[in-house]
Amino acid sequence: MVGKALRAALRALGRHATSLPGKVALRLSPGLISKSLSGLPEGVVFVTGTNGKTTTTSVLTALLRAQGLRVLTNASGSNMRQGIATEILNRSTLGGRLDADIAVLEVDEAVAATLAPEVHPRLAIVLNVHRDQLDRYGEVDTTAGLLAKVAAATTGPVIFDIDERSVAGIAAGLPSEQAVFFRSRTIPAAPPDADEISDAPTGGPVPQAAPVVQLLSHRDEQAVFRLGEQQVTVPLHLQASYQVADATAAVAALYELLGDRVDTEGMSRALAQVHPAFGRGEAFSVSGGTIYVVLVKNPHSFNTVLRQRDYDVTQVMLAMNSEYADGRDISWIWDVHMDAFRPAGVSVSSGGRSYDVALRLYYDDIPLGRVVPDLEAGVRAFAHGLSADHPGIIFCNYTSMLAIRPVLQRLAAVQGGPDEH
Amino acid sequence: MSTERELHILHLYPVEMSTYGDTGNILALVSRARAHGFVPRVDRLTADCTELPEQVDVVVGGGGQDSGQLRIEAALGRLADRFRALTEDGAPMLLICGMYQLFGNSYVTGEGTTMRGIGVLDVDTKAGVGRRSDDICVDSPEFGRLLGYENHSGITVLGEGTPALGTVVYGSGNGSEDGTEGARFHNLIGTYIHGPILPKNPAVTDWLIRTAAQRRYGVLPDPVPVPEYTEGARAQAWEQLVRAHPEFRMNRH
Repeated sequence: MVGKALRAALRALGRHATSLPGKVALRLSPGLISKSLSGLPEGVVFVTGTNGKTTTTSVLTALLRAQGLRVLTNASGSNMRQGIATEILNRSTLGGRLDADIAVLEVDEAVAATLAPEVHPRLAIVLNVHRDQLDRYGEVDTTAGLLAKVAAATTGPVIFDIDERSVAGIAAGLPSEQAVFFRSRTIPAAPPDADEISDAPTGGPVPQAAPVVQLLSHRDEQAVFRLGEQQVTVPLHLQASYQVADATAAVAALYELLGDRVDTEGMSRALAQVHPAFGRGEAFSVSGGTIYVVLVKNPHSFNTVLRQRDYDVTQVMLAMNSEYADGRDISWIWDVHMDAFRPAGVSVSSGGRSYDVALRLYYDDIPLGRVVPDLEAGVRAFAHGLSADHPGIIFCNYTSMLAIRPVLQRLAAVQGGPDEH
Repeated sequence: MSTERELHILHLYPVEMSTYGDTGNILALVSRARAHGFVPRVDRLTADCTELPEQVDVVVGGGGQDSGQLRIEAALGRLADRFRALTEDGAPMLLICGMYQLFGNSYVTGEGTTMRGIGVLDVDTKAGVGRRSDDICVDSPEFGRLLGYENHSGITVLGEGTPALGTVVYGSGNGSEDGTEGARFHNLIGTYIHGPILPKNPAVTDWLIRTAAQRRYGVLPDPVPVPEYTEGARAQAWEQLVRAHPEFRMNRH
């Protein structure tokens, strides 16, 4: 048991985005997470899968808070055990009780597989299985196996996108009353592209069950959802299909948790506050114009962002590292459809793998301005060459983003925060 | 009339067997074929193909998941004689990871399933304990230093008389105790090097092109300078390897 004073000291340490207090606390009390969460009157919700965890978690948290619930949640990037433990310490009273009714946790796939049997979530959202950091987990099939464990350890409903083939096999393995589906597609699906085909082995048959929650229409930032038998019209500013799917997943979870007790006005208020930025991007206004920073961590998320708009006038910088947190294997850049950049070219390639990216572009006949391996110098060169007529976008992976943001912050006053926090 | 000399690149099972960016090898071959004065054509072999295209000058196959390998095992088996004939005729081939394994005699997966290879290469592979996912560096007598990334659980044993592609400087390679990586037979290269291998190792790319040109047209094209970013990418790969593995740096002295 962690002493009160230590807990207070750890809490003081843990105020800001570090997993150190969680790390210390887990050493002192390995059962801290399950012990603390077991006291929550409304239980625990897991959100897991390769892409969309952060958006889904933040929308569900907003929805539940608008229903009057006190929600414990974790910030993006702290979805491993230490980060979750840190959030728990932040929200604990000095007596060790959690100041919350329910927990909504975004959980890394591998961590979720071992944490779910300890925590017994009452509900889980299993989003998708795409290629991500294969060098950490091995194969896509292995990740699907991890998520199947999460589903099996969940005591109540497990929520799936009925059109997401990559998790259909997991849904098929559950008792039919436990697998709950939603549908966010209002038009028939486009044929899958190559990276989705290569993800297909984990998929199963198209589920036969009917979706419990369905997006019936989405026009002019107004969405009509069917929740069970009733129809609800709410504002929905998200546009990208993948973000709409994440929001629908959150609505389905809300409906499964509260049923017909859902206060639709609260739901409407919460969704009105959810705004998209550029992809998941953060905007910085620098002297030459506006620069968006977009995190792309795998070919699927990169390709999804590239499909959202044209880049024929956009100024682009690519910033790629291959540190452990990025996944050491940089080969995934070859699975990104970079031809989107061919009309306008790429201005700057930067980072520890800047020359790999340069070769990637060279062999695909995409013009490249400069290679600047040092990230700070790269950002400065990009900002310096920016034309005010068109936005600049920096696509970066995780550790390069960590290096880039402070440089941009120094170059500019931050214009807007990320949409999800 | 035709003054255009085409080189036909056959991409083996791109849907099932290109999980680790191995499509980059095709882009590199296309670009270097052009640089050497040829008109590249890429043919994609799919699992329902029962015959090879009429003209095959370079064969390239990538890595895939075990499930992908299982799905093409039979399709590849039907073409075993055609690939054996192509190999003996001197067609250059680059077979990576899963394809390297399936061109061998057999592959036993982690679950204990035995896949029959087509036996063109005299090698046998068994899934080992755990997965090797890390930088790899290999010295090859023919191609010099090769840099890339490996991601596999296979342990491959070379048959007597089958030479390795090279010796491991850092990494696992064939995974057996002998420190070898890959295999060579006629103009066939089997290897575990992803990355993808060709863009960062143009010595291999150009050998494939030049060997194909000599076989098809009887002339060896003049060497062409490599893309200017190549040395930078190779230097960064080495730098990342050394930085991620400080113990290796110490062992070098």
